[in-house]
Amino acid sequence: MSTTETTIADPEGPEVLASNIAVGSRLLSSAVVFLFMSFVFAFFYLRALNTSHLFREPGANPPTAWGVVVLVCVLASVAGFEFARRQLSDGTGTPWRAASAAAWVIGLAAVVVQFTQYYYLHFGATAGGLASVFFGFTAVFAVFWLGAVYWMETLWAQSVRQPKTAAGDVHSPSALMRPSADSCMIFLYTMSVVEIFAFVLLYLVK
Amino acid sequence: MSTSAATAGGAPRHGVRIAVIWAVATAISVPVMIWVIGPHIPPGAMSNDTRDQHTVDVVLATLAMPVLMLIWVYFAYSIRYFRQPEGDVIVDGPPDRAQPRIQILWLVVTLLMVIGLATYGTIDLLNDAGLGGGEGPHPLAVPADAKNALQVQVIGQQWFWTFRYPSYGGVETPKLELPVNREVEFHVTSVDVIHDFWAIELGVKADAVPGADNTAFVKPLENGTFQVRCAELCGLWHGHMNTTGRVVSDSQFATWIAAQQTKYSTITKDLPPYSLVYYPQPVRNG
Amino acid sequence: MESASVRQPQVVKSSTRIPSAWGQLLGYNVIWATVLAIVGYIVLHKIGDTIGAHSVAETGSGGSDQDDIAILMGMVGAILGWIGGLGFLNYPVSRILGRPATLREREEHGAWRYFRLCTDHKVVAIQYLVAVLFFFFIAGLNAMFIRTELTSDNATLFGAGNYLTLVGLHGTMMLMMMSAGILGPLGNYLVPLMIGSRRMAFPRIESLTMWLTVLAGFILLAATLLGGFPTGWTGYAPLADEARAGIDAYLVSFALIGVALALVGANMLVTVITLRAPGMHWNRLPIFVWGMVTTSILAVLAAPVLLAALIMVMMDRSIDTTFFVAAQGGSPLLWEELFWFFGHPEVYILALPGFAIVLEILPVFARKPLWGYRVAVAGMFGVALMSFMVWQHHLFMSGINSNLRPFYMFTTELISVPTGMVFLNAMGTLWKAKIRFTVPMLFALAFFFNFLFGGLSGVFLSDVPSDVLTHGSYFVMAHFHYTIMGGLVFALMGGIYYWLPKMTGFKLNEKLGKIHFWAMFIFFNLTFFPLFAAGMLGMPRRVSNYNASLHTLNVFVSSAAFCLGASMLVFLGNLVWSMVFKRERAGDNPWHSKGLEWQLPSPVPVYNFERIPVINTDPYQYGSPDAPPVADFGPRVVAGQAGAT
Repeated sequence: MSTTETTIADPEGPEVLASNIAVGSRLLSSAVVFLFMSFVFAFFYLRALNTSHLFREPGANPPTAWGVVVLVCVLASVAGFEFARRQLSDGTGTPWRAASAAAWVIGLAAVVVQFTQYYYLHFGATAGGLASVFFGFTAVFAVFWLGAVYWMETLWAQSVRQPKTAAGDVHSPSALMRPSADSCMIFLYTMSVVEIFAFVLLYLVK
Repeated sequence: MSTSAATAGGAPRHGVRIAVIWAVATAISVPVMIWVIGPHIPPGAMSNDTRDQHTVDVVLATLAMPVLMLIWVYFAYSIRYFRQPEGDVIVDGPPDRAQPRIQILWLVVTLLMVIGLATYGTIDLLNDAGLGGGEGPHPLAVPADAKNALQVQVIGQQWFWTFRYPSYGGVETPKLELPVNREVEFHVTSVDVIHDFWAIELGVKADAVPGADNTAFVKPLENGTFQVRCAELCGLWHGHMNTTGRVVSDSQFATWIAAQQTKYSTITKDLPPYSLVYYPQPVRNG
Repeated sequence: MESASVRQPQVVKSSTRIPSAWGQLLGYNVIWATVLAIVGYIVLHKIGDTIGAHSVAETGSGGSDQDDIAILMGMVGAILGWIGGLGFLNYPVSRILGRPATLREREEHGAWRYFRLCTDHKVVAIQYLVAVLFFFFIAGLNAMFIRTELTSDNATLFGAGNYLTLVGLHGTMMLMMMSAGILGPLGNYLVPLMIGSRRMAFPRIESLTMWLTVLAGFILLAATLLGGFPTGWTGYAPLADEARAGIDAYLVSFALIGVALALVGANMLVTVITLRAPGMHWNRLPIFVWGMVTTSILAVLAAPVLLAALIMVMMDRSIDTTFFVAAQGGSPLLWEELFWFFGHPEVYILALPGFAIVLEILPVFARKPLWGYRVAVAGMFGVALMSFMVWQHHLFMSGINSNLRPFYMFTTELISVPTGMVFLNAMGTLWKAKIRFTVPMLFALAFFFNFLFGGLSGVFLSDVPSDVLTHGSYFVMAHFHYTIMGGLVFALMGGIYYWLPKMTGFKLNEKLGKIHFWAMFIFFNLTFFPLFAAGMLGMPRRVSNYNASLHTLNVFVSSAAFCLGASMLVFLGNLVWSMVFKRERAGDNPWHSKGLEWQLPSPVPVYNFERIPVINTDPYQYGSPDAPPVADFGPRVVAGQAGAT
């Protein structure tokens, strides 16, 4: 074992990490928009072509009730996290913790509901273009939504683990929580817009 | 560049030199391209499509000559004359950063060239030159005598081509024969994966997409043979998916097609009815 | 954030414990990653097999679905094992448990750091360089095999399936590796140095992208163990749907690269936006950084589309969706649309870094500022923006609505305008310059010679009537090899010769470099120029069987290709000789460049800058003796104290 020493001036201020996360979340959101745009394109393209008139096989009807449940869970989760975020002052208050916990738990419920829906679905993946886009769009959305739930959970967990922080400690973890929550919000809003698109296209427009 | 090249003290006028060399190079290369190299550019003169495509290629190649010469002459000149002097000391060049007039001039000239090329290409697309490229089920460019065109369906499958003549009883043959001087309307489709019907000397290329009908037109103008190759990777024997087509006189064609109808009469009865797309059984049920 | 040049330093002493050799061996590193990847594959493959058998029994579909489910799940297991073994899962798990977000500010030392997760961007860049060059040589070897097959007009030296796998491996590996071929090695190394930062924005993600790229390369090679794949790098469905198991390896590896590409681009963009040193205004940014920025925008937006398309094929193969099955409501053209919507920006992801490097190198060896800096930047943005509006030119013959063709012909031809501006920048920089013909400069000049052919042939291809002859033929092959190899790879070589002395502290041999350059340049042109003719004379792509009249031409091309391969061996020899054996010190600024990175010691110390510099001007102040130095570094932090390497 050996040790080594280095010396530098100007260590980095904490606002840099915050701006990293802020810009990063916007880029992540743009990338995710393009990802789901591909499924939106597939929906409209296959619908327009309707090859062998099998875009919608008879009976390949996604049941709206399940879709509504997933949509409501996602939107409630986002709304809950927005509320929680506004409560965030020094990252420790109970309203923040309770609201953010509710947000990520409801978000997780959305994923569970989605995968449960596949089990109870009365048509399979082979049932035409709409069915294919349905499975692709909802499954990929569920995976990425899980990422959003993860982000919310980490912020909640942080406040549980370190409830008190010294004020004025610039490298204090909670100094990053507010910016991180703000950035998470950007991603959450993007995902909720995607989910609304998914619901409208897959369950209403068909 | 040339305007600021006049320097005091007899320094060489690089801009003028470059312009002169470029003019000479262009004056040589353009006629060479038009009259020496041009005639040898494929795809030959066997059909109306290829003759127009040939013209397009010669025009593009000729227009490329001044551009090519400009870059070559300029870079060669710079490499020859704008060198670091001998010795160990590293000398800097002048601190020029930009001249907006030159940038704008370049931008305008290149934009005009592009707009010109695009216009020329679009006009040509609506003439014979573009008819050979697969236009989909609703072609935009249609030849004048399309109503009397001979309909030939090209069916691609792994790994050979067959051809179906709907106006001759829907007979399907492994060989392609066409009558000379008559407009042909190809309907290209596939029954498994994506292929690409490339009748090379006829100047026809159309993707064979399963479930889709791709239209292309050609009017062969000379008797002879032409190669048919697949130009879209379709699996193991993609490179072996070749055949030879023939362009023959009207009477020879009539004889040939009658012979095909006789030869394949039993098979034709079992074929599915002529359709622009085919879905081979079994179709998977969901 | 603007501060005067004299600041009170907050000196930070950090001390790191380096574990013993056993500690390094048993810690998170690539050895454990490999072990866990294999274990993960086996375990999840087994689980996938069971699920697949269940699903086959339920739906009555063919057993090949079961294979695909098992293989795809096995791949997921391999990925998890790989990143777990390297230690990438530790931070996410610690975050789930509530530990705070941190930067992992561990100063890294020792040779072992090249074999594991390292957050020093310079180490990641060198790892990237080794990985990219490793896979580049493998793909190049595949090309040699392809050209061997093509010396005969109909023989099957390799067998039809193996030949197509070679073709696919060559193309896919080159595209995968070269997509981040400059962004990864050179971008990650140089961008923080060029903007005056000590780090990239997300160092762990940076390291992740590197290790994902390595994994993707090995997964792609694993396709040979699974029966190969017949689709080439373009993966056209429905052939991709029906192909044997090897294509699952293609799908997964390409998906990994898509993810890595998006992450590398995002990291780059955030770095340039947030971590610039004081005084580094946007108009002082080196053109190389602008190239990385524009490339990154494309990477972030286009790679997700690829991911979506690949997921659709994976679903078609495993759970029998019908995205691309025409008989069941899908469309084969959907794949073409999605793939090329990614694919066209992808080729500009390849081309833009080439522009970035040569425009960065040219001023140094012309001893003149970059001519037309703003137009060069605008040109790069123009190319990036327009690259999203041209993709239908890959579908000109596919039977798309023929009303679309004139529009896309126009946009494709239009994209040559900003590309042409790059040529103007080069010409302006060379005007009355004082050129030094070093090896990097030779490669930069050759770039313009090659890219001119690439660009002009692109105009032929964009013209639809002309495209009728040349689509899907060797003309296209020649076009993209001229732009990608003649452009990007030549630029990469130039960049390596230029920046390797900074990265390692050792010079590459100049004489061997010139032999490498001339051999590569001459044989590259002899190999690919005749292919324009081959295409126009009727040789389709990806065939091993062609018209006998083209036999002599192909033999000539293959001979030239073997010589081109030999020139690469000269490069490899130079690398090994100079870096391992000769190890001749290059000095801090062997090229006498005014760039910021050249004002630092070679190799760059682990913390980059003792003190974050204040930037005074752009790095192109040649010919201006009164110009200030590029940056003000302030007084030494501790006299006589140098950082350990």
